Amino acid sequence: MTEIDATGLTCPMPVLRLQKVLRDTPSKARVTLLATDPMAKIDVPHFLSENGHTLLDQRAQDKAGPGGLDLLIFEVEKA
Amino acid sequence: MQLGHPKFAYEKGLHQIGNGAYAWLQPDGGWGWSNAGLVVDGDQSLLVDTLFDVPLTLDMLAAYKDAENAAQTINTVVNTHHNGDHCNGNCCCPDARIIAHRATAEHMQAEPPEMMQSFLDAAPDLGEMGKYFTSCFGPFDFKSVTQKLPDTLIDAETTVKVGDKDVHLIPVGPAHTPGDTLAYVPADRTVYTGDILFIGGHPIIWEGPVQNWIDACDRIIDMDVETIVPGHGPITTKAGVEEVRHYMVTMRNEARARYEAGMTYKEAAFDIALGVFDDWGDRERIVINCATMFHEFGAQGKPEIAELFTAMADYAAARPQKD
Repeated sequence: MTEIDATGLTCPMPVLRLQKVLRDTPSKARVTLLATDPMAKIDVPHFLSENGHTLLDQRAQDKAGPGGLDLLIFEVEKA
Repeated sequence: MQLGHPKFAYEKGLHQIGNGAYAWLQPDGGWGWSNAGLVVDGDQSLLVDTLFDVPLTLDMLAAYKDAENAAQTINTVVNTHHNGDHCNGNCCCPDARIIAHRATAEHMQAEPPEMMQSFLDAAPDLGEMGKYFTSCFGPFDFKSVTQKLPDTLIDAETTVKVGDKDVHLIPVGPAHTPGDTLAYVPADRTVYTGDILFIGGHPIIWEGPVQNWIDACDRIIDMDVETIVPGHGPITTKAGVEEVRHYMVTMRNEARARYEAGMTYKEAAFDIALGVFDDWGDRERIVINCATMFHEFGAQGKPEIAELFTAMADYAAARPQKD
């Protein structure tokens, strides 16, 4: 499974990184996106929904990101 | 300028247009406070749009049932576009056929009510943007909604019957959204426009191109109608349509000048003097409108939703609306 580390990046960079990876990923393949910008909670689901991809799971780990930020984990399946 | 129809007060609730046509209004017409309509003839009924959540839609349906026996069971619902404040209440009409443009159905699926709820759940962690988002959408009960998608899709102008009345469904998008559709009832000299018309509030150009919106206004102006029910704001006349058209032409000119001068969409939004539109509600929508128009003019990509709402929150904080 591909993992994208977008921790420490502010939106819209996490979505742009994800978009770039999904472009070269086969259909139904799974990708994990790691982010710390809370705005990703809005941008990532919206981007996935608008583009027909599936958000399999979204969870947060308290203070587990760089600098003690909450780590956001998005499990994605490409359409 | 007073843009409301002189025969109808802008008050919450049911308004009888006559001949079996009704409007349901939700002042102040801001984010999520949408209008809807009912058309009846004989024992048949058709809703134009439902509301943002189940409690709001059930209140509306109860008033319709009080007013008309034909509304005891709603036969048909038309969704003018996919925004949740015009279709989330579809689940309150379990027996109805749901008609919408194909693009409306597709985008309803892509923007389910659960997504709005997840945004509201995330809002407390999102600072000023989260506060702004909650101020816009916090009043609504998205957990009450079970999404009911259209089952009858249209791709072009279509006429449906309500008893002996014709209801012409006229796609005019993409403009506000990809599947914008007018519902024109010649026998009632009434048109329900969905969000092609925001009266007294800034329109939101989610999609564009603006020219389609201008053309849609011209289409309405050319209709033989007396009563025009907008998606938001008071019932209006053709004077209201002319003002929305004026807004589109003016803002496109203002935005293009700033695009060609090399500004960002956000700089343009803050730089444009709203002039005669300054007292319209939700002025911060100029931010989205500039972003969409800049994309139309050739700017690469569209900003993500969090960026747009952050920029709108900045605008609203910098330029609070006068009462």
